[in-house]
Parts: sequence; structure tokens; C-alpha cells
Amino acid sequence: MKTMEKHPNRINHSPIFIFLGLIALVFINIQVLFDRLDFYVVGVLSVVAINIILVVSLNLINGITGQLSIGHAGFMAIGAYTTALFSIHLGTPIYINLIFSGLAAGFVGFLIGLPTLRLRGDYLAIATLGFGEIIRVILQNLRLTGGAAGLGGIEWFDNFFLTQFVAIAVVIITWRIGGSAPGRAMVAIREDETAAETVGINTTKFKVMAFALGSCGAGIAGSLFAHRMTYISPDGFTFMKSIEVLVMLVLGGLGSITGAIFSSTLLTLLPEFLRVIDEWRMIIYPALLVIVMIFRSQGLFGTMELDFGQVKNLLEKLIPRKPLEESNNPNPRLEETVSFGGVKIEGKGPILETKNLSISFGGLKAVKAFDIQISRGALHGLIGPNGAGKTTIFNMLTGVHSPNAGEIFFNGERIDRKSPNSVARSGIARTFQNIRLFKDLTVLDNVKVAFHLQADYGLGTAIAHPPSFGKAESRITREAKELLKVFNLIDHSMTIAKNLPYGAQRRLEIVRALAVSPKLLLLDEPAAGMNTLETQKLMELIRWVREEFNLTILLIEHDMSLVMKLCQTISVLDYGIKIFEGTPEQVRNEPRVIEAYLGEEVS
Amino acid sequence: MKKGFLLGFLLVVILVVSSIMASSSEPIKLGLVGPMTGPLAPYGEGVRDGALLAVDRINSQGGINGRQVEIIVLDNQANPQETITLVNRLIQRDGIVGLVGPVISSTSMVAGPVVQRQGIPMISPTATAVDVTLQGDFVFRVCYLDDYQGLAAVNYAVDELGAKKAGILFKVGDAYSEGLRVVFRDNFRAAGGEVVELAYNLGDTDFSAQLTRMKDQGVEVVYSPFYYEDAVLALTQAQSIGLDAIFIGGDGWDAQELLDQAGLAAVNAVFTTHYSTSDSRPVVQNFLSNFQDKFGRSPIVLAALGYDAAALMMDAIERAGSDDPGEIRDAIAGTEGFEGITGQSISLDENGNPVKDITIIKVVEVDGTPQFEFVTQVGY
Repeated sequence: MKTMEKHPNRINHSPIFIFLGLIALVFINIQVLFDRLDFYVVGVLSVVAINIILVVSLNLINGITGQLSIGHAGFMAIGAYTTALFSIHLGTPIYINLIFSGLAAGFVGFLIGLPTLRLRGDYLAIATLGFGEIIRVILQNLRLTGGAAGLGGIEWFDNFFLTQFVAIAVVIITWRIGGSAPGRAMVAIREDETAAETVGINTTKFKVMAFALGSCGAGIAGSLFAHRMTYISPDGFTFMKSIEVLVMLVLGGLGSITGAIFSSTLLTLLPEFLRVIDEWRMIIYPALLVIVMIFRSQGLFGTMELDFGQVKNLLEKLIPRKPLEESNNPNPRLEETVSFGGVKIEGKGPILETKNLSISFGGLKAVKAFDIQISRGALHGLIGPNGAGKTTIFNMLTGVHSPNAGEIFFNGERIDRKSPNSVARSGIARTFQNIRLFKDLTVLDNVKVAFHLQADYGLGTAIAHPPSFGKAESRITREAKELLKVFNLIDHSMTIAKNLPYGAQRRLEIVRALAVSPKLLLLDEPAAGMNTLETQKLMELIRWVREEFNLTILLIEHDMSLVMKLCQTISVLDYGIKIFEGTPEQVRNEPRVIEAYLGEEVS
Repeated sequence: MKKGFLLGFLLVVILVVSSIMASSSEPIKLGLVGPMTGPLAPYGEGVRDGALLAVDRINSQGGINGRQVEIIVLDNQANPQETITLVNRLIQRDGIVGLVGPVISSTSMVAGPVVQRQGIPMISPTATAVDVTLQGDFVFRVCYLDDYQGLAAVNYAVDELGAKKAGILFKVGDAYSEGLRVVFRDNFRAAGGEVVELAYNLGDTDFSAQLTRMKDQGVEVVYSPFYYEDAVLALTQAQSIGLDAIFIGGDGWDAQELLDQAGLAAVNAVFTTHYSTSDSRPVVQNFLSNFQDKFGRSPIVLAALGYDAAALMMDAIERAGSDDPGEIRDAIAGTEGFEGITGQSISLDENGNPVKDITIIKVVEVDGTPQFEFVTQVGY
């Protein structure tokens, strides 16, 4: 198994957990198979499986993609009612109803996701809450859905094996999505939406995708629910139901599939065990939640996932067998000296050109009529006092801000109305002044996320895992590792990005930008916070990067020695206006620049 | 040697006899499922206390055919999914031979198929939704259906009050309220009357706009299918805007709180309900006094239904002369002329619904305070 490489979230692992889980699963199945458990126990197990589907699918939206949705019950209702109507009016079997319920809920999720996912955080939560309630109120008032009285007479189907099978399928699909390029894109959105855009991730698309898929899961759970209940009414899908699912998710740890499974099992079984103490369970249950949230506010599992690789290792220890041929290094290139293409100038004209570029925020004109031409292969500096508008220009160049006036041409193509992700696609990558790594991901995953554009497979491939998926994934991993090796970060590849030393974080941001395969690299104060020695090294690195990766580089920097030594051309910005442009020597001697920025010392 | 044989023989006899006695004195187990926590807890607890009273009475009289009755009460929080789990638990783990409950229609809708599949008879004390008993021949109830209650209200409005124009104030999205609304509207129109329907939403506390419109339209009666909390608001607001139409409520109105909170604004209102506390039959008066003795408070109306459901279940077990659930079912289905609190002579029809009288209560003023007064019982 190559799963080792596939989980963007794998931080820690307790193989014993999954080992016990699998044993429990096998044990339960044997018991059910031989009729050793009564209806009551098997019924509770079915509820566990349905809850797992609900929580794992919500995890895709809230945990993995980081979009706070609190309307999951609404989508469950759509699935349940689709099944009810199919079963009552068409008499279709559960297998068909499951599919259509999932599709119906997924489709509504798609429709609702498109407008609402532009909102963030609390606003999104309120919008999803509203939609969940709207769905319920519609069901309550439609004659077709039986109004408040609900729909009865749904064919009874409560087969533990089917429910279990569907739950396992949903878990595997979610797990596979989590370990694929689309899944990494979703995690990147959770970590930092702007940074995700600048590595070429169409955040709207992946948010809607996650929302639709999560809704689809809720619809499937609703279908199983309806067949189990035989009667459904809008009362079963209230806001409280959404909260119940959310509580299970938060308890397990937002973002952890393992946690979702564990907590939905625990919270479904717990009331049954606590039933012997009657009313007290009503106190103990919430008290447990409070205790967990106080002592483990990130949830029982945080964002941790179990690691099948570790389980395999454990099994290998337990069951001795012939040594695997893993010593065959699948990637001999890693051992070789890496060589990238030489310096080549392609195309004609300036690589980047802006005309009359202007933007204002409220009354403040941040950038006024900014014109610049950057020739191919250049190392161009952008300097100026704080607040001169340098970063604002970067934000306009990368599509983060839309200019009020003016045009930006990249490679002769106009890009000033493009979204950040399509700007990244056309070949501009950047770093940020205040480092914006995907903080809670490993170093390796930070880079793999940025290989997003090179992952030439879709969601279907991610779920189906054909051989081409493995090839694409191992290629991405290999290339990511090569890059890390080149930048001396390979030893840290499994480190969580936020735990890296400062300088290494800066370097990782550059690596991440390079993984987008840009033609133009924008560096925003790469030397900020570095000492002289580090700056010296950085300078060499930038030169080398430009040559090795055949890049044009535009950089903002306050460290004058670096700018003067590195750049061929320097533009000086003051109060949003370009006051001068020239060679380092010209800049050094220009009175306007000295007055506005450099001061007497440098002159 | 002979002595030893005798001793051994005695020992065997004792063992056999005691085991026979043990088996016959093992209690007959019944289950009860309803909301004991959450917003609907008062209804669940009322049903529970009524049922416990019925069981106590049987047990104090020596049980059924010498066997004590045990009723196991579980809290479903009015949640359908929870209900399935609990009913399965009661049947599989506790070995109940009959189920009293569930209390709420939506939970009774899901419990029906569960008991049906496992062949355990169920009597819901309070589920009024029509479909509940259509789910199988093991499902019964002792309360009347919304249809009959609505029809009784129409008959009273037309025949007794001579109303030609009725307003209906109902709660949108509430199964109970909407169900009664439809029955009343259709039957009132069929009787040649004119209907003005106005809705309010969950959480609304101001009905004066709706009531003013009704006043302008000149309605003679206002059918008000909702619970007493909203009835208190509607009655006091109607008084303050000077709407003098007669309010007709349903069994949701049958609570002492209605009088306490609405005061004299409630005078002249009538409602349909399950029984009257002024009914002089011993069974009713004993129930009221025993309930007061045991629980230290007067029973809510649903307690009477809980009592009747449990009492009918135990009566059927006695008639069946067996604790076999199938035979108990047959005995329940064959119920005729059972004397309950909510009906002098209750029989069950082919769908498992009770055939019994509906009680109509009127609020009257006695010495400056409002009181419930028994008006009539109407059969159907």
C-alpha cells in the first residue's frame, strides 16, 4: 500500500486503534451473521452506521474544507423524502433509492453551495442554517411531502450489512478524496483560502464540490434512515439534528475521519449504556462533551488520521513473512544530482506589463497610474517606504485585488479581471510578506498542494483509484520531494509547517511557489527578519532559482544591500506613485529616491 | 436408606413446586415509551403516571390470574429513531408482551411497524394521527382520531350554536393543528357554513391581527385547534379587541392552566376532550382521587388516556388467559364495552380505533371564577 503518501492530514498515528477497530468490525459481523445479536443491538449498530455516514460527510465540508455548515439535517431530509416518494409512489427498491437520494441531495447542495460558499465563517454558518430550515419548512408545507404530518408507508428495509457496506463505502470514498489532489485542494482552502488561490486552486469550485459531496452523503444517510423508519416527518430534520451531527464531528475532531467514526460510534452507543442510570444520562452525556471540549478543544482526534502504513507495519511484526522488496528504491532519481533546464528566453516582448494601474480603498488611493514593464528573465526590484502600495501591486498582479482602472498584461494576455487561481494557472506565483503557509500541514503536503495544477486527474479518478492515480500521485510526491531536496528541506518533509524555523518557512514558501511552475515569481520581502548571513544565502538562492527554473522575478524588499546586489532594474514607489525606475546605480544616486526612501546614509 | 429416599423425594417435590410457583409468579411485563424529558415531557409523564396507576390497581388486586404486572418505562424524548431502538429493546431484552405508547403520533408511526413485525400488541394512549393504526393489526389506540374530534366540534357549532360563519385560527406546520383545521373546514363547509381561515407561526404570541379580521368578517365561532398556551393568548386578545365569537377548542385545551391563566376571558369557550372530571362514574372518581393520593397533584387529561391504555391492555391479557402476545392481540381486537375513564363503553373497530363518546366541556363563571362544566357527550 502506498497510503503512506496519501493523507494530507496524517500527523500522528495509533495503529492499535485501527487494529482494534477492524477486529471489532469483524467480530460484530460474525455475531450478526450467526444471529447472535437481537434486533435491539443490530438496530443500534445500524444507527451507528447511519450516524457515521452523516458525520463523515459533514467532515468533508466542515472538517476537511473548513466551511462551517450547520444545515446538514436539511440535506438528510432531501434524501429521506426522495426515498420516501420513490418508495411510496414507484415502489423502487432501496438500491435505486439510495442512488437517487444521494444525487438529489448532492444536486441541491450544489445549487445552494454556489451562492452561499462565497460567504465565510459565521455568515456561511447562518446561511446554511437558513437553508436547512427552508428545506424543512418547504417539506412541512408541500402537499406532495405530506406536510407536517409527514409520509408513512415507506418500504421497511433495515439490513445491517447493507447499511454497514454503505457506511464503509462512504468512509473509503472520503478517505480517498482526502488523499488526492482535490482533497489537498480542500484542505488548502481550510488552511488559507488566499494562499490556496495563489497556487492555482479554484477555491469556489472545490468548496462547492465539497459541499455537494457532503450533501450527497447526508442524502444517502437520509435514504437509509427513511427505509429504517418507514415513516418520516419534517420534525425529524430540525436544526437540532444538524447540531447533533455537528457535535459528533467536533467531538471527534474537525477534519479527522477517524475521529468522526470514533465519536459517532461513541455518542450513539453511550446513551444506550447510560440508559441504566435513567435521567442521569441526561446530565452525564453533556457533561462528557463539556469535559472533552475543555481538555481537548481540538476534539478527541484533532485532525489526526490513522495510518494504514503503520497498521501494515504492525501486522508485519505480528505475522513474520518474507521481507518485502521495498528496498528497491522506486525513485532512483532522488539519488542523482537534480538538474533542471538551463536559462532560456521564450516569447517576445515584456513578460509583464501594466498600464495606468490604479486602485483605491475607500477614499485612499493606494496605487495611482502605475506603469511597469518587466522583461523576460529579469530580476526586477520594487522598493519604497511602508505603505507605498508595493504589496497592493502584488495583490493586483495576482488577482487578489481587482484594480479600479488600468490593465495588466502577462505574456501579452490581459489578466487584470482574472481570479487569483487563473492568474496562477497562467504562470504567476508569489510569496507573502507575512508568511502564508498551510500551517498545519506537513512540509511535503504544502508542496504537494501546490502541484495541484499538475495533478491531471479528477474526482472520479481520486475515488476509483485506477493505476493512473497511483502513477500521478507518486509522480507528484517524487517531484515535491525533489524540490524539497534541492532546497534543503527534505529532512523536514514530515514536519508540520508552522514548526519550521523562520528561515525555512520562507524557503518553503518559495518552494511552494515554484511548484506552481511559474514563469514569473513575485517575492514579497523574502529577506524580512533574516540576519546578514541568511540574507546572503537567500540572495544566492534567488539567483540560482532564476537560472535553474528559467524565471522572471519581481521582488519587494527593504534590505537595500540585497536589492542593489540582486536586481538589474529597480522601481521606486512612494504614495502609490512610481517616482523612479532605473539600474541600482541610478536609483542610489537619484535625489527623489533618496529623499523619499533611502535617506542620507545609503547615499 | 428409606429415610434418604424420602428426603430426596421431598426435595424434588419442593424444587418442582417452587419452580412452578416461581414461573407463575414471575411478573407479566409491559413496556411504555414516551417523552419523559424535553419540551413534551409533561405529556409523557402524564401518560406514564396514568399507566402506573392502572398497573398499581391491578397489582393491589392480586395481579392478572395471580401474576403481578410490571411496566417498564423508557424515555424516547419524542424522537422517532430513539423510539425504534427502545421498542426493540423492550421486546428483545425485557421480553414485554405488550406496549403502552408511544405518546406522540410521529413516534407511534414508527413504532407500529416495529411491533407488527415482532408480533407484539401496542396500544397508543394518545396518538391521534389517522394512519397510526393502519400500520398493522397489532396496532391499537384508545384516543379518538382527529377526524372525530373535528367533526364533533362542527356538529356542536352548527347544531347547538347555530353558527353560519366560522373562523379557524391554526398553527402552520403543526400536524395536530393542521389536521383538525382541515377536518373542521371541510365539514363546516359541507354543513353549508362559511369559513375564514387564518394562520399563525410557531413562536407567534400576538394573534390580534388575525382576530381583528375575524371580527370584521363577523364570524360567530372561532375554531382553535392548538394547545392551551396559545389558547390563553387567543382568548385574552379576543377579549381586548372585543371579538365576542365563541371559541371552540380541542383536547389541547383541557388543562387547569387554561382557567388559571386566561381567567374570565375563557368564559363561554367550549372544547372537545376525552372525559370530564365531573363524570360521576366511580371509575372516574376513583381515578381522580387515587391519582391525587399517589402523585400529589391532579391528573392532566392525557393521564386518563394512559390509564385507559394500560387498563385495556391488562384487561385483554386477563381475557386472553395467557401471556402470549398473539392471543393478547386477539383479545384487544375483540374488546367490546370496556369501561374506561375516557368512555363508559369502549369498543375497538376493525382498524383498532376506539368507538366511544366525545366529551364537550364549557367554561362557565361561578362566583367570579371560571370553571369547567360538563356539557354533553356525543357518540359517533
